[in-house]
Amino acid sequence: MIEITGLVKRYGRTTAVDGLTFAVRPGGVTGFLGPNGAGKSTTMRLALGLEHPQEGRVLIDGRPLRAHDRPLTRVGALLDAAAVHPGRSARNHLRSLAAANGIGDRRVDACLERVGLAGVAGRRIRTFSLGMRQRLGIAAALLGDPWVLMFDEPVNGLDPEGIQWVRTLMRDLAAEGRTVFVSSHLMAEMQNTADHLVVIGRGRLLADAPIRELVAAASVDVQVPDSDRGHAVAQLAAAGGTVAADRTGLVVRGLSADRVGEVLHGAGIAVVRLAERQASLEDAYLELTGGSVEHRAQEVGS
Amino acid sequence: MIMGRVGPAEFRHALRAEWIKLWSVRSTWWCLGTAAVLVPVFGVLAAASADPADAALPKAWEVADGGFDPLEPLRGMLLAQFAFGVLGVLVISAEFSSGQIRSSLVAVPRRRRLLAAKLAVLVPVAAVAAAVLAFGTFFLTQAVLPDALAIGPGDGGAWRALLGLVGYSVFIAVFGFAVGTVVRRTAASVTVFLAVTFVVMSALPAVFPASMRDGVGRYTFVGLADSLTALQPDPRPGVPVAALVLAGYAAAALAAGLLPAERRDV
Repeated sequence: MIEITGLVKRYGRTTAVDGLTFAVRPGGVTGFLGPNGAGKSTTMRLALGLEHPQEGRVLIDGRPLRAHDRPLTRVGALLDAAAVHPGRSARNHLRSLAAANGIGDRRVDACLERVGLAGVAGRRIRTFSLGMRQRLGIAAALLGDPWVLMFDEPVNGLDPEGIQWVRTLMRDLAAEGRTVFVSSHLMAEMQNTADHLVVIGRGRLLADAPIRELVAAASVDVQVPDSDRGHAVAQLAAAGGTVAADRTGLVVRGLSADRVGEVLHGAGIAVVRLAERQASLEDAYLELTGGSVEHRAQEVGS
Repeated sequence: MIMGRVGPAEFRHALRAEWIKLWSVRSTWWCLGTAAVLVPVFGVLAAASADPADAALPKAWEVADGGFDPLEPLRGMLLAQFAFGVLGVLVISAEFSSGQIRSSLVAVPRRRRLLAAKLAVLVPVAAVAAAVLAFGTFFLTQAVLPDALAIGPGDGGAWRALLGLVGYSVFIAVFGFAVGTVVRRTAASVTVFLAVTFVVMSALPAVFPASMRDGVGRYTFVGLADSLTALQPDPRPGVPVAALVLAGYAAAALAAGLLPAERRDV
């Protein structure tokens, strides 16, 4: 369990994290989404105590990380592929981290095995590809067999097979009842992995909801004769929908396609076209983060 | 699984981690190896070029100035200080320059514990390396010197001068570490370390009035090193005071690195 409360981080006049409050619960994968520069990595660094917030706090299983004994047994973190000394061998890198928490070399070798680096464990990290470094970072996160895992952009630099592997790993860790918190700027990745999403933009919380809800919030496109347009908007709004107009028709949110059809039929309005817009997370995300400029409809009623 | 392991992570765990880190990078071997080659080679060459006629001179510890100094071939040890200093710098700056520090601080979130563990590994390693180097080179050079010039460790307080070399080497390593803790990046840290140790400390007396230059010079790093390592019985500032002043420099530099460590972002 990760509890973030009223977190604020400013660098000079720039506010990177602006009053974030949310909790990451065990037993599922929580995706942490936002455009580049939204404050995801900063939030993770704050959670790990690498940086200090001006306001707010982060608790991991009820306490700040530094208050935990053997922190690696509480939280495992994949920060970035650069959080290593490139001159050290993969195995010695892990051995040093493990030793700091009283974890033995056998566990180091088991983790190297698990991430598929056992064969190159003696090689200096300098010689590793980005994908191999990501695997090494994941091995470091797993060292203490922790119940809270944070992965910052774990699929960066991985090939499709590696991406599939990370996805399965995160699902497995969550299925064991662990708290898995994974950041990404790629929505599609989360659609296949996460149960719950925390979406931020410019350091602020935009959404904190089960992935089902965010997807369900997608819209219905409907086209009616121009003469009936105003009438249709009024009827749909009265039925509880949020209606926007775009060039070709109306975009309705908050009502299912069936319900939109019913309402219009009941009002005697001819329906020229009715389509459920693909319920993709991508749309929900773009909408939340304000990135969908091309498809942004003009609000005409609510 | 690591079930069955109980009890908190302790200082000894951090110590073990730092021990592994120190010996698993090449830079440690480069630094110590450079000193291990330079000092004896310079010493043997210097000893071999000694003039047997100098046996007629008084020994250095018998006179306030001049005389024959059988430890002269060990002067290379004072020049090899940069290797100890750079080792001290790298122990911490390599972590900041590479990003390793972020991994290290997740494993050991108490920063002063992390830094203290590094220091607690660095000091004995520097001390042992310096002792092997100083005493090894001493016996080597005395074997090379003509018999009439050579001394034993008990002659003229030579062992005290050798311990002084060890102590000064440890001081320089600690000072380098402190600079690395404050400045963080390797290139900048090494530059600052070299600038302070070899430039500022040498130039410092020149900014004082002529009448004070000698006095100030005695309290620079080099001046204090001379007090600790010379056979000459110079009463000012004397070995105990010189050691205390160096310890004070080290403490001040460490305080500048360690006190703000918990607050600074990484």
